[in-house]
Amino acid sequence: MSGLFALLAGGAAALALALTADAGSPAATLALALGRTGWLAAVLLVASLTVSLVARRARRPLGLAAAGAAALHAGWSVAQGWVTPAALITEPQLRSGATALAILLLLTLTSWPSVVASLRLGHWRPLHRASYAAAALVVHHVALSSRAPLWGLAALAGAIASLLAIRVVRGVRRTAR
Amino acid sequence: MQASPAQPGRRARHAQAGAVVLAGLLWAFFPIPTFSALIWAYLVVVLALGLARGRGHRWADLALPWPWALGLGLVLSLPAAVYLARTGRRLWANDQLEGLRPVLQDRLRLTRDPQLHPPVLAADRPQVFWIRAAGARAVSVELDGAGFDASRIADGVFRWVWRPGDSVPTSEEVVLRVDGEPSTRALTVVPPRARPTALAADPEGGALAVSEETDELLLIGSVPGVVERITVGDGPLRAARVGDAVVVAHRGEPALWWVEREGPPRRIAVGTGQRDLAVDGDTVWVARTGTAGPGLLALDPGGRRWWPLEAEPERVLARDGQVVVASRVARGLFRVAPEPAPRLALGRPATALAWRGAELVAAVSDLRPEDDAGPNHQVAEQLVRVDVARWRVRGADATAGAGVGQLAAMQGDLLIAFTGSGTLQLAEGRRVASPIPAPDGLVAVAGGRYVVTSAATGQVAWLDREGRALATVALGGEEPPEIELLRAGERAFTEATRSGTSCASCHPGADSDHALHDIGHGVPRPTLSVRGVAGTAPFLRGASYPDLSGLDHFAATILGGYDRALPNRAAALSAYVLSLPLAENPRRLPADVEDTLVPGYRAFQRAGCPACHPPPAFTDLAQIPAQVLFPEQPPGVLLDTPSLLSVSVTAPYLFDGRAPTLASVFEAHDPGERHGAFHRLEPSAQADLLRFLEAL
Ligand code: HEC
Ligand code: HEC
Repeated sequence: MSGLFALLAGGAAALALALTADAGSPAATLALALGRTGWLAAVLLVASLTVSLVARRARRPLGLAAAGAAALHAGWSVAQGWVTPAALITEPQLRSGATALAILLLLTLTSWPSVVASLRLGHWRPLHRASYAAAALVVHHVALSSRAPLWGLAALAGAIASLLAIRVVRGVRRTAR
Repeated sequence: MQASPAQPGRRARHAQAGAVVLAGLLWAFFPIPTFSALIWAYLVVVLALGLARGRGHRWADLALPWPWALGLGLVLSLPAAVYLARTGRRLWANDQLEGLRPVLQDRLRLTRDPQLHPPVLAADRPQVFWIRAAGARAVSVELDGAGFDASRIADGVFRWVWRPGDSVPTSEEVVLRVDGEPSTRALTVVPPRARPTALAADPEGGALAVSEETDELLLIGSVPGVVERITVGDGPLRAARVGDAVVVAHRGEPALWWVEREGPPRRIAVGTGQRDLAVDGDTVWVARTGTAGPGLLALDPGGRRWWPLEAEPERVLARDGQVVVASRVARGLFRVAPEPAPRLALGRPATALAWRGAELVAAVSDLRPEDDAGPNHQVAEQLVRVDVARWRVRGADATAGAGVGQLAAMQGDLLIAFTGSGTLQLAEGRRVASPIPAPDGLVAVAGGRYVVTSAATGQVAWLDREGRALATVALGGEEPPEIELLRAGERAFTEATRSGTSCASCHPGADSDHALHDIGHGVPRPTLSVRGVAGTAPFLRGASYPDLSGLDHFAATILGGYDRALPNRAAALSAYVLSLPLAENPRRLPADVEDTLVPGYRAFQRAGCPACHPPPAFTDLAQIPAQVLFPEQPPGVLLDTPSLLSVSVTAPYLFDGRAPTLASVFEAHDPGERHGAFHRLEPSAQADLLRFLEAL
């Protein structure tokens, strides 16, 4: 139940950010709104990965909120005419974004034990490591986005690279033990 | 996040490594290499293993002993490694990482504060630079030790007008001094190079030409090897003989120069914005553009007369009381005398014109007398015969070469310099290969000889009656490698592909032919000017070219490729295009223009335009869906924000040329009133805004 709440809260927060955007003219406002929803999803994703290094319990709601925001971001972009189904495969930026969203949604599903049980899914934990792949794809998605501010891109890439490095170092240490 | 207590960590990591190897293997068979595909493969493998394991299949643990796992992993990952080595480059391209660097570079440049734009200074002509310096009260610019004050247009927005002085700047950097604080910024200085143009026969026996960038009048002798070079005013455009004197029109100078054999030249003030000149008897016709609107000025011993024109003129031709003006924007001709006549549509701009017998011959990249500007990307060049007296097209003939650079007539024969194919058509239809590449001037001179010039290479050559080369003079002498690269690029720009089309076919004078072409979008789009594009990657309206070398690929594939192999063609082409200054906008230079810019920028800002068209480049280099601006457009079509610098000379506007004027961009072609908040401005502010755009 709280999972569903986090998911919806992420989506609702993104919607609120989108609806309050104002860039001085309708066209610019639509674009700004899209950017805001995307950044919210990215920040929540980074937060969930960061938290998972220290306090695993908080990871799940943050990850779910990220998925909710990302879903709204995708929906908004379709509504505005940025995206066609074919472009999801042919356009590198959209392909990365769509793949990252698919990963987040898959993880959302597996975060309900009942779903895992009913699917009779054996290992599904490796799936959660795909959240790093999703993060890397988000960096690619943002790098190819013409409106994303460059300092934002740099901060995002830096954060995700550091998280990945910490994660790998920890993994290697544990294997060595 | 690590393994659960039920699943020892080591075993889980085995499974993880195994899944990665299997995913790599799966990926290796995927037809289009992308990173997303790798991740999809990983997800599929993990899900499949998970499901198998959930159904009690122990093998799905992949819990092999270490040595086994390692060995099997190595063997299995081999195909993936081979695949990656083979497709690595394609992978990079498929995920658009190749084009990322130039695009991010240009965005980073414009993000830096303070910054100026354009990043190129063509040292031969006056130029306007916009400077953004957030929070600044005063900005000055230092170039080569000389200081200049920039004028303030709005908070943090400044403008600097550079005018050529006695020496060419040598520095590749400018210092922007913002309230005293210096910041160094890169500025590519393009030194003037000798480019002979506007070759015409001189009644005295030789030929006349000008070199616009080096400010020279060229008196070319009929004797091979003799060129007299006379310094004239800024930007000579054309020279013609009037009696004993030679009269010269200028782009940058508000006067005609009368150059006599003896004594200093006389200057006759006619104002700026000169475009071309023609002499008929003792009348001098000057085609002009400018704040007063386009027109034609006639000077004769009796005084001056002025004819307003409907469109910006490029050429004027006068003979025996007949005066005709050619306009690129209007893609056609206007008759001014004996009786003014309306536009004669050619469909495409005339690239060369000459009188022959009773008719005027115009070279047109693709005749469309029904005034259909519509699509084509293969250009079928024609020589159009115009009956000036009855003001109609008599007929059109195909040409025997490609890229007509110049036409001249000689007793009923046409002399043609084919810039694109590097060939010459001499008297009696004799065709020879040009002794100099990219010939764009050809006239007959005394002694049965011919003179050929090439702006691209800076050469003048003499030929005998049979077309054999007699002598060649390189006006630039020995030139540094940067200049040689620009010359190679200019030559590549005019060189015809196997289809007969060159870059210059659609971009005459490196500008727009103001027509529509389908160059691979499936939708015809108006040609953009290639001037002033430095620092604005990605290029084209769909932002499909991260760097200009991709255009060479367009020529090599869609246009059919070149006969002449040239190892650095893409680099030369790109260097040349990036060196071009913005299309000339006569409304941006007058001293009182700031009276327009200050209220205009205020309206621009109030209408929210800087959100997408921010100074100094007046573009954010970003794209938005066409559907946002034009609801009838299908989704998924992205439009790049164009720079608004020199926008007033690049009509028609918007991606499919739907807006003929700047006002109509907002008044008729902004159905949802979404393109900026133009409609929220009161009428006087709207007028300020439009005047601002015209003066940009
Ligand atoms: C068949 C006509 C045609 C030919 C030939 C052609 N172009 Fe273009 N060019 C166009 C059109 C049309 C556009 C605008 C396309 C759009 O709207 O996306 C354009 C756009 C451009 C631009 C983009 C300018 C900007 O502001 O983004 C550049 C640069 C350019 N062309 C350079 C070249 C070069 C270099 C060549 C030769 C290799 C060339 N063109 C050959 C028609 C042509
Ligand atoms: C949301 C971003 C955005 C805003 C805000 C915006 N523009 Fe544009 N503008 C664009 C895009 C994108 C195009 C290209 C449209 C096309 O190719 O059809 C464009 C095209 C133009 C053109 C036509 C240029 C050409 O060469 O075709 C003009 C003029 C222009 N804008 C002026 C303005 C002015 C003035 C404002 C403020 C009232 C403004 N724009 C606000 C994005 C914007």
